[in-house]
Amino acid sequence: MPRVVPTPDPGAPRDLIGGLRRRLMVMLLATIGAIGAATVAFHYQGAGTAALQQDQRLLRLVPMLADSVVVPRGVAPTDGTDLTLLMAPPIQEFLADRDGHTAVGVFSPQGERLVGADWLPVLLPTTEAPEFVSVVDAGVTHRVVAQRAVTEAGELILVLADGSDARQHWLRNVLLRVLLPNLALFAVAAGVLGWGVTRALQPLMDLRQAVERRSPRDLSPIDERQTPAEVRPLVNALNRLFARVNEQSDTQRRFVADAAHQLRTPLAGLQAQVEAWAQAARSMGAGDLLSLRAEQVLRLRDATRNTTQLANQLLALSRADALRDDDAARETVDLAELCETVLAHFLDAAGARRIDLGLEAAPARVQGHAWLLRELLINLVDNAIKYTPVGGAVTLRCGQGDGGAGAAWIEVEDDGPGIAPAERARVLQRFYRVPGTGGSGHGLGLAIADGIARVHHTQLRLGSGAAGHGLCVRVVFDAVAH
Amino acid sequence: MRLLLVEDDVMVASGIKLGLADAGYTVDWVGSAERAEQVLAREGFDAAILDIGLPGGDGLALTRHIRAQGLALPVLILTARDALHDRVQGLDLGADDYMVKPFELPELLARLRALLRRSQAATSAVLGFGALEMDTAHRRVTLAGQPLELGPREWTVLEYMLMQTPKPVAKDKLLAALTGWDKEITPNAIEVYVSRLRAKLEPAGIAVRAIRGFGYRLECADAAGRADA
Repeated sequence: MPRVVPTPDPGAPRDLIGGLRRRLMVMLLATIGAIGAATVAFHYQGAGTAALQQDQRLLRLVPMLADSVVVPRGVAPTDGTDLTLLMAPPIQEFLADRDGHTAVGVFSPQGERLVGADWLPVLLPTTEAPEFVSVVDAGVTHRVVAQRAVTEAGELILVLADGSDARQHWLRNVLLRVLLPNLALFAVAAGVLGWGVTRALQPLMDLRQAVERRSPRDLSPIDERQTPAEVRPLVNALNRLFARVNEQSDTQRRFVADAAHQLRTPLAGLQAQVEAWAQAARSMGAGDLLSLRAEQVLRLRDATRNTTQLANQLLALSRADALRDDDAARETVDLAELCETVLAHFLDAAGARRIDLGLEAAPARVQGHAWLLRELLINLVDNAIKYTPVGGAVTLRCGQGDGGAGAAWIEVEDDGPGIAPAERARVLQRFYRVPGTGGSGHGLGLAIADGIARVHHTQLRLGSGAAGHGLCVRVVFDAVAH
Repeated sequence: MRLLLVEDDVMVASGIKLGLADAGYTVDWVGSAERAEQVLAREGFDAAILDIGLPGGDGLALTRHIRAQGLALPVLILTARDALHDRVQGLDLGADDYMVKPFELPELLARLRALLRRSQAATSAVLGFGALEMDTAHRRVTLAGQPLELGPREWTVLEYMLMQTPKPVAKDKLLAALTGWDKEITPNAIEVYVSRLRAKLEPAGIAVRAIRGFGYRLECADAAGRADA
């Protein structure tokens, strides 16, 4: 049977805690990041409104600029080359307010620059509708509006440029007032959260280290008083598992020790015999014949058969143990057919002791492991034949309640000495033999049968034979198919 | 009867060889699958006993080889592993029977007898048990060389038992087989035929043992002694 040793995998707990921390950090920082992004978007929307307002203001200034165009007396009004600007107060204000980031320009309808800086673009709107562009000059983005307007000097194209672009302000604003604080907040939050999460997960890491430091043999419970309440259920579960594994490995150790002890007995007999012959053979020549008494050889054969049977029984036990929690490999087993096979198997053994081996089989089916159930029945019948006196009777029975729909059962009854009620629980223990029992048993037959019954979610029921003596062993399977 | 034993463990091999020789078989023993293939190519055997764990190719591969060569001899596999898939694989590859080591010699002999009987019945149609011989082709039964008179129902019962031995034959099977003769047959009627057979066979040391709740089995009168031997 594979030993259950909880080997701590050094990678796994670290990954677990690292993963926990990573997940927590990602979730918290993503939330903060999302809030920051929403703030930035909100500001951006605000800036868009500001830009629209700026355009409107520029447009409102165009008529003022038109009014500011004056033509000196005596000059032909259509010429336009000799005009001057007499700035209206709002325009003056506009030019003064913006720290020189503003400019005005006047173009002839043909695009000739009459007034204005060289960088001002030549815009020729074809209709009365204003035209807006953004122009970069000396690293400053100017919002420029151009519109045809009728002035004293005739139809001209008037241009107003505002370098205090709201979007630029916005960018600076966002950088300074929103993005930077947000980034700072993010960095601080990441640091604080990292520290906080690490601290919060510290008990888990301590637990991990406590488990990691253990030797595979150390299955003592973890002290749960030193663990925080959140981890306590986990520690409790671990401790329960440790206890189970502990119990199992104790049972296993005891079983191996018992098995080795049991194997020694027949082996000692065999070895003693063979050693004696070897002793005799040493003093003999190469071609000499060793004479053996017939009963010696028969004893030797019995000892080897005994050893073989023990090995087979140990194997059966370990297999039943291995399948205890495995319901997957089940199949439908015909119990009547199984009884017939086992009956045929024991005919010679029963005949040798003049035991009347009989069958009372009704159709019965069960979900289970066919070879394990066969092993179960073989152990029961073997037991019955072994302990039934010469000339006695052993009967195999099987059937199913409710006309084939209810619980299926098998039963083996003998008319041997039976087992006293007080002993019945103990005979199911491994290697236990009723005191005063003769024969060549190992005290495993009923333990195996019970182990196999338990694999099938049931157990052995020991009772007396129908006549009030003998042993009747019955196994009732679940009515519901598993 | 000449048998081929392929087994690399000297202790096991010499034990089996001794036991088989004592039972009257001629045994050729080889220790590897390679040697076995050579010997099988040259000589004829009535049956082969193969160990699964062999040096130079295992017993399963050897079984496959034997069947691939078109050899029909019965093959009995010996194995220390009795996991289900090992057995199934062995039988699937063409082995006729398997035994799990360690085993008892009487059981090996019984299995071998059954295998040889089956392989011979397929060719000669003669069933035998002890001093009893049944020639199904010519519908003749002899007991210790003397012809034995059997009624048709007794014949059927005996034929079924001979075909099944050493396994017991179920009473239900006999009932089903005999309904061809009589429309309404009762279990009691079978007991009548069996007791008539008993009377005829017992003088030659052959017993028909009744198995309570199941049926009958042919046994040598000294079966009790043999099982313990």
